[in-house]
Amino acid sequence: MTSDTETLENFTQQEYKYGFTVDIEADELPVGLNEEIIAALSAKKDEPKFMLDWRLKAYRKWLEMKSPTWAFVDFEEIDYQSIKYYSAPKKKPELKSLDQVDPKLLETYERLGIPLEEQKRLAGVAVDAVFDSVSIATTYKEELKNAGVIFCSISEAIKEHPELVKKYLGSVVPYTDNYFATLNSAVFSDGTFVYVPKGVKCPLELSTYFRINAQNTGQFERTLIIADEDSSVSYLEGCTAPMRDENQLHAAVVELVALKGAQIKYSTIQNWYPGDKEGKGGIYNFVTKRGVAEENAKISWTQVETGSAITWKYPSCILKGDNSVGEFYSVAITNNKQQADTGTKMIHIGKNTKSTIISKGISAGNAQNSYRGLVKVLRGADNARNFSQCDSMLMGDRCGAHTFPYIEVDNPTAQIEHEATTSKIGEDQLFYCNQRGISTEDAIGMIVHGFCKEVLNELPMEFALEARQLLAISLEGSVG
Amino acid sequence: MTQQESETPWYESSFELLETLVGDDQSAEIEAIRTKAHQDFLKIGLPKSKTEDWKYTDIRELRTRQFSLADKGVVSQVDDAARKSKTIADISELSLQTVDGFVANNLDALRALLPKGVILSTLREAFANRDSGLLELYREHFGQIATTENDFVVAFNTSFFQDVLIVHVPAGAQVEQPLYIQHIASGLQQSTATFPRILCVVEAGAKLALVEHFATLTSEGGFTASVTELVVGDNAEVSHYQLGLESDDHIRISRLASKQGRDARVRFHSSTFGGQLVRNEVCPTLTGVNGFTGLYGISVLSGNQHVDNHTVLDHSVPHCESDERYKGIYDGKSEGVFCGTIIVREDAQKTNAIQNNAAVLLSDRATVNTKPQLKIWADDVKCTHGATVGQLDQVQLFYLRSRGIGEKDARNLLLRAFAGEVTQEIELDALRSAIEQMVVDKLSL
Repeated sequence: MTSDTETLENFTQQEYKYGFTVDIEADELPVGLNEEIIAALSAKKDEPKFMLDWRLKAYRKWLEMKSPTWAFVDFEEIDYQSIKYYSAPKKKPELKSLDQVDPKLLETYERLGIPLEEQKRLAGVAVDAVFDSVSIATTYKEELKNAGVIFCSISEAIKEHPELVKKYLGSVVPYTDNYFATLNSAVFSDGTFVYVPKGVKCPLELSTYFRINAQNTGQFERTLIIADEDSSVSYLEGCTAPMRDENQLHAAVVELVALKGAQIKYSTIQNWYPGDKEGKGGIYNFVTKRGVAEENAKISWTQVETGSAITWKYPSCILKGDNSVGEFYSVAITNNKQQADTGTKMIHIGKNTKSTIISKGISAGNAQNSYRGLVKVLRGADNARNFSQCDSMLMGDRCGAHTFPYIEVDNPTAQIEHEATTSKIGEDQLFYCNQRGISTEDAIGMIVHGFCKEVLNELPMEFALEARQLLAISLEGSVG
Repeated sequence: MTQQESETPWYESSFELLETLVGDDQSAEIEAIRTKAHQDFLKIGLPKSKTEDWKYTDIRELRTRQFSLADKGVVSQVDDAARKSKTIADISELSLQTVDGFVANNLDALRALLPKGVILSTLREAFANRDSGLLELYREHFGQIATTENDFVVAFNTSFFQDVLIVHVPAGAQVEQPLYIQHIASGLQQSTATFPRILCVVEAGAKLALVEHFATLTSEGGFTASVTELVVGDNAEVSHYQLGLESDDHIRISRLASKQGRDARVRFHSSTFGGQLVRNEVCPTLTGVNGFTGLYGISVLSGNQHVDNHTVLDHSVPHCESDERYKGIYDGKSEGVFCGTIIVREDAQKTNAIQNNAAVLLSDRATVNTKPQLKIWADDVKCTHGATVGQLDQVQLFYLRSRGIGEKDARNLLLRAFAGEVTQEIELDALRSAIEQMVVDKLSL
């Protein structure tokens, strides 16, 4: 089986394909973190006073907190004073069309394979492209406006819809929530805001491409999505990042509010720089994502995590209203020295609440891949139902796959099922494919794709293709 | 008593008293081990509410409540009849009792029943008789699998144990009758703390079944922290049964630790019916290829009882198999915890590990917390775990009732079947039928 081992090894020694930086003059705050920096950040963004107060409250809380150590990941301590907390491309024109966009930026998009014009016409996706910390171009705004949907950057929302921001920002992830979320609350520079009014089915799949560019800039995104009663929205988030050697911190917060009867589908493809073979460089991805589902509402998280040196991410659903539904579909691929500790929390509070968890972890090289999840059924959550399935696949004998599910049940009418399996690609499966003329590499691709299919099927069309490509890039080798 | 003194927990202040209470015939060697263990114990301290391994089990009461160490003098106050009053009939003639942690029997009578070469002794005897062979065995194995560093349960037990019972089964010896050990908490003193300790070495090709039965004579609450170390040689076969039948005010933490050689088969079975708070910790390590470890448990609780089944199964060598199945039935305000970890080390290729945990809640105030974990570093393995929590299947109940079976009978039938999947793993007929009866009795309260 040496050739198999070789193929697997080649698979696992892929270099990052999307690594490059583009020099753009940036308008930045000095390195470091203190109350003045936060005030300056807030002033730069022209924020109302309530936001500054909120940021400062969060910052003061953050000073009292300690970085969590419970996750199954290992990294050097982060020096928060050596990070630039704000970096915006200097030219910040008011744009109506793409012609006005800095050509260098456009070039970056071209190289990333996301030409905005193409996206506009072909995919029918409104793209709110975040280049570092400030939204540069927003498309399809007019069309969304007609439907009454607000889709803008969070800084814009703070200025133009302060009542909504004031009401919902921090309502799902309070500024005291956890170390990274609190840090984010203090220093978030930009992000996305979506409001879908009552009864409106959002006519487009909303999408934001994130990209980290300026060196040493931690990106602190804040996303707030509110689906009013009986509305529905699908949101897509995807990212790539340039190659470099210093670890970069990304501590985003995503809050979803699904009011009575509303549906939110949140899909992520994450392909940030994972570091080189020795684990040098790479993004630290410490994300807090959580949604609250009111009566009859539904929140669905789908994620394909292939990048980042460290992923620490638990998209969660608080099933507060009766009959609410939570879903979590995840594929996490770790390679070389990547570490992922990811999973979900399903908190059943309302009656007849349902949740589904499907998690697929693939670990290769020297990577560590952990599923960590909680299913909690509170006393009053009669007839709660959960199904969880966590499958792990190991490629190579130096990697690890771990499962840490927590199940807490306080109600006898709950039905909870949890299943987990760990396996490798069977020699018999490979042999079967080989003897039918399929190369080992193709066979591995097929098997991996089949292994993840349940999750990939949940992705919106636009992302399904990209996801397939990502799986291939993450695991494909130079052989064949 | 000044404020300062009242804040010193009993386990710190009573260590000095230990010598007079357990008898002064212990050797300096033991004293050194105890002192080391006690230092470790004080360094580790009791688990705090944030300690991940104790997340769902709160043992703060051990600190706040005043327990007192067992006094050897009490043993003689418990007569034979009282000592044997809790014995389950027909399990074995090889039956012995510890009272508050002290071995109460004259072991000579039992030795006569054992096959040739099998040793049954206490550490106290070994030192008194200067039995060099036995002491060598003790020095080689004691505290090796269950170490006191970073381990609060073992450190606690090692610093306070009353007696160490040593069982040695030489290579090839087959002990056909199970060794039936009852740990009796006499309840003659108020809130007694007892620390039974067993070291059991089963050499290559030998066979032994061990039954540990925890019981209380009165409803006076107490505390037990027991540790049993099992060293299992190549191709040996060992079964360990643990039965918890204490009164409703008793707290117990039991640690079973084992390591096994190649081709060895080790099975652990825990049944928990009694006690206020019971924690069964089972930590087997597979150190020889082609071994098998079975871990089984049944808990039937009601009232305010709490059980925590905590297992850490360590596959450190290739080609081993393990089967783990725990079931719980929880009524009243009882709480069930299951925390099972399977570790598959880098070299342990071709491991086949199965873990399953199922719980039934009978009341709307009962709680179940489950944490099945897999930590896997080898790629060519098959590991699965499953956990279910629910109530009785209404369809099955309806099926039975539509055939004229009363609600209560139908319910008991289903619960017996549920428990049966685990109780059937008990290979000792007398014990199995006794436990099956206990399931029924407990449920029809």
